[in-house]
Amino acid sequence: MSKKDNWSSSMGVILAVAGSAVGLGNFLKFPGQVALYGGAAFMIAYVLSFILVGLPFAMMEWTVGRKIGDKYHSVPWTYYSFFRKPSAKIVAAIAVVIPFVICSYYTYIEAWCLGYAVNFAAGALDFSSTKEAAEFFGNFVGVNENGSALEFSLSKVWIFFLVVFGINFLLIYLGISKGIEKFCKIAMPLLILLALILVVRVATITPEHTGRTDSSINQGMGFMWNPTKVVLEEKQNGKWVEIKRLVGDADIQKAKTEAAKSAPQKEMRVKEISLFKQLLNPSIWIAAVGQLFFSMSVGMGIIISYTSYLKKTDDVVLSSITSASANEFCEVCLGGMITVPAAVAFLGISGVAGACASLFDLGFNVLPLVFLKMPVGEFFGFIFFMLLFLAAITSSISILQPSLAFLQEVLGVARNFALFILAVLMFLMSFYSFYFSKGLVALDSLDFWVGQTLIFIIATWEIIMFSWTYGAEKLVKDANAYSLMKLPKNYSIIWRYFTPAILILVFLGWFLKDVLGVFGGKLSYQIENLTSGKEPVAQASFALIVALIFLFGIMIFKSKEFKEDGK
Amino acid sequence: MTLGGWITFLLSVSVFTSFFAFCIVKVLTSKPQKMMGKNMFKEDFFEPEKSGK
Repeated sequence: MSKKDNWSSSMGVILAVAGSAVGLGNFLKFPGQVALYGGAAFMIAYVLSFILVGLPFAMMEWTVGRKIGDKYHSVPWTYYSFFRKPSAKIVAAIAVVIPFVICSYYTYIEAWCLGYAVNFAAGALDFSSTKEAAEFFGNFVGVNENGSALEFSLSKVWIFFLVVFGINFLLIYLGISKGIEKFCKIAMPLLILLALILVVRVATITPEHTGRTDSSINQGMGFMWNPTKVVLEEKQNGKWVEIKRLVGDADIQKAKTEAAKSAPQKEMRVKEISLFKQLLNPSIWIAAVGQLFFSMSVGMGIIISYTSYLKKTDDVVLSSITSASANEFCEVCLGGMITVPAAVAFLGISGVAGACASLFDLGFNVLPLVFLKMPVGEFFGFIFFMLLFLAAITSSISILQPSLAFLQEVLGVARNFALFILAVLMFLMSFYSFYFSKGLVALDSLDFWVGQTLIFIIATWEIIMFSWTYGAEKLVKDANAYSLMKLPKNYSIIWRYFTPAILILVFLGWFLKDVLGVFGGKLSYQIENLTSGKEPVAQASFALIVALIFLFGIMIFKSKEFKEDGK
Repeated sequence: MTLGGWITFLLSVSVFTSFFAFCIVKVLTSKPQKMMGKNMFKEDFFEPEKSGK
């Protein structure tokens, strides 16, 4: 298979990979996580995860993609060309399912962003409480009944879903250099500009704007970044339970007075949790590695597919570091400044604290209300949701690329025909997430099994295979060839030991505690949904994933190209 | 926000902004070093497997 399309510049591929990494998580999930786990403690865990997991993984995928790209652009052939084992074909089938399924529900969420942007621009949003905001969101995406968002109206997501789907496939149809690269070269600087406008807007919010004296931007920033967490706790059944986060002297003093007056049967206390104590909590490390890992778009085959279009003489070390730095800049410097401080300033800590753990709650219930309360809020609401839409679309086009490369290579057909097949399959799959919208069960189940569980398993397998079977030392040599920056020889130690060990530990910690509910955790509701039979859509989603793995597996095993090349 | 909060915030933002700026400047000012990896792709990566070695 010959290479027909290439990146036209190194900045183009850097922006495209950065665009792939910068998504909704940068602006919604990251600030929520920082606030939830405490600024300094989370940032220490986050920076270490970046150095030991995110960056090594990205550099490995850039190196592998460039090496394989002379002949192939899809993940199954990458794995098989490196390892030549039948087991690689099975893993490859799962690896192909990951971007395919993620893209199917990501386009649905992307449509929410576009829909909110248009509704803000049209002045069609009007709520005065988070309850009303949640009601609008529920009707807009169809949370109350399956198929209820299937209506051509500004207040329903259907029309936006069609538009988003069309834009994605148009950009992919235009190709790597004329479609994805050109678009990312415009979209990424525009995204940063929009984010900077919002940062300035948020930084200049005063109590006159919010009409509140008990909360401010300063308090919002403190809620996110203060290294020592101060909480109000209540004794429930003999155990101290956190009931409120406290930020600012006035807040703490008030809570201390309240605690001193509390009745013995409803005892309360104000507790300070030091930075060191926070770092001893394993959840913070799981959260930091998870945030970093999902934010950088590694383990999905995107970077391998994108970098397979590099020339053999293109740099990979500096380029991978640059695209990672762009993602971190957007996440920490821009994402960390906008959403949570603004939400706290307008709604107070109690109005935001519960939403920090949920990307959807913060993004689509809390923030629209915040913008409506802001002077010239409709304009800034439009800017914010356009920013989210740009972040999402630069990610979704990248998630489509591995599936397109796979179909093209497995079926041995022309690019446009493969694109047509992908469009049909993707529409059916996306429509599944869109139609079964009641309680967002389909989306949630697909995300849990594919976007969280399978991706971690495949990524861990990938780093172990490349660093142990292929060889971390060889990877260093490959990465350094033609690169503008050189990795030290002993960098292989990170690839061989640190990255796999951290990934395995974090995955086991998350799976045992948050999924299976051992070590003081709670059995995940997704497991309950699957085993109890109360949610048929959850079971159907799981069955659909298994069916897709079988389908893609059969396609890989039957592929003529695999047989010719592998035997 | 406490003094510790300001330090955490300013340190995080300045580190990642400087890191990003350094990388961008380095990309824009670097010239490809074509000689450094001249032996890497001398042989086709797929050839040994094709011939059954």
